[in-house]
Amino acid sequence: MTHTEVEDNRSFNNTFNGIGLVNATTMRSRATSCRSTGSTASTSAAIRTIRNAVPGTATGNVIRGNEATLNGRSGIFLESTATGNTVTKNRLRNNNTKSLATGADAVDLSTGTGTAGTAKQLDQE
Amino acid sequence: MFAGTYTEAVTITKTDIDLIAVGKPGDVRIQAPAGADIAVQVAGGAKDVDIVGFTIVGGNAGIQFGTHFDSPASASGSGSAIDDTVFGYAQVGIEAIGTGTHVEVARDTVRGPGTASSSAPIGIQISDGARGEVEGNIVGGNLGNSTNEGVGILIFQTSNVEVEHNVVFGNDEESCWRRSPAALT
Repeated sequence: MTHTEVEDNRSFNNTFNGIGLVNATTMRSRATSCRSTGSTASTSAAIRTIRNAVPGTATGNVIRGNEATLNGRSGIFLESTATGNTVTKNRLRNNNTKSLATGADAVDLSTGTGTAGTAKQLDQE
Repeated sequence: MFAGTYTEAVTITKTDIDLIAVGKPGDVRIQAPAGADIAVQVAGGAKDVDIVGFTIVGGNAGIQFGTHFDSPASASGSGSAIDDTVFGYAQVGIEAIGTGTHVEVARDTVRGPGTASSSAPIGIQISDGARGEVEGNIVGGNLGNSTNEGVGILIFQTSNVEVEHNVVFGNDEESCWRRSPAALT
């Protein structure tokens, strides 16, 4: 996914993440389903895209000015393959209500030459 | 359309059709018949189709623009869903799918069942090459189960989508953004 802008949304009381940039490999465990698009023949194909997709990326996106509170795992969750994105001026409070080891207000699993050794630019969180 | 409950599945395949509910919010209700896949569908390459002010209930999908994840542009559907209330769907509230589909989804209320569901519903989905703006919506109550999560707003296998000023709460995942193929970058 590229060149998508996520701005000025309010996210709260969701079971897991407020806002997530994730790669496809994690879908095997989380297995979020995608609608099967109305055709019987497409049912497995639509779900395949999530469950069986090769690792992908979320690149060049902007997450700005959002508010995320009281979500179960994190306010913003960035998978290891979410690189080259800009995350700025978001308000993240009181997330990880499930006290998960992988939870926090913001979770970034990427590594690189961006802010704080991540693969993206983080500013004023 | 005037006040009342219309139990039918609506398919629009002509360009520049405006489907507008007359009256107060909730006055005009489209109820998908039992067994219907989609309550209101825009497809067949239709453009500039506006669906405004309805309460849309039932179906696997409430409103769907486009046809299939790998359909050609000739099967796409473009337009807007504005000021609608959508609930009672099994899989997705408002969906835009496939190359050539471009939508504005604005000021809608999309309400999942609010309890754990075997179908893991999605409130709003823009996917598989569809593009558009998702603005000012209220999306909640999309809950799945131990193996499949419900999602408030899902942007999947596409690019150039704007998601702004929405309130999203009480879903398994508020919003997910998934990868797009290189051809769309």
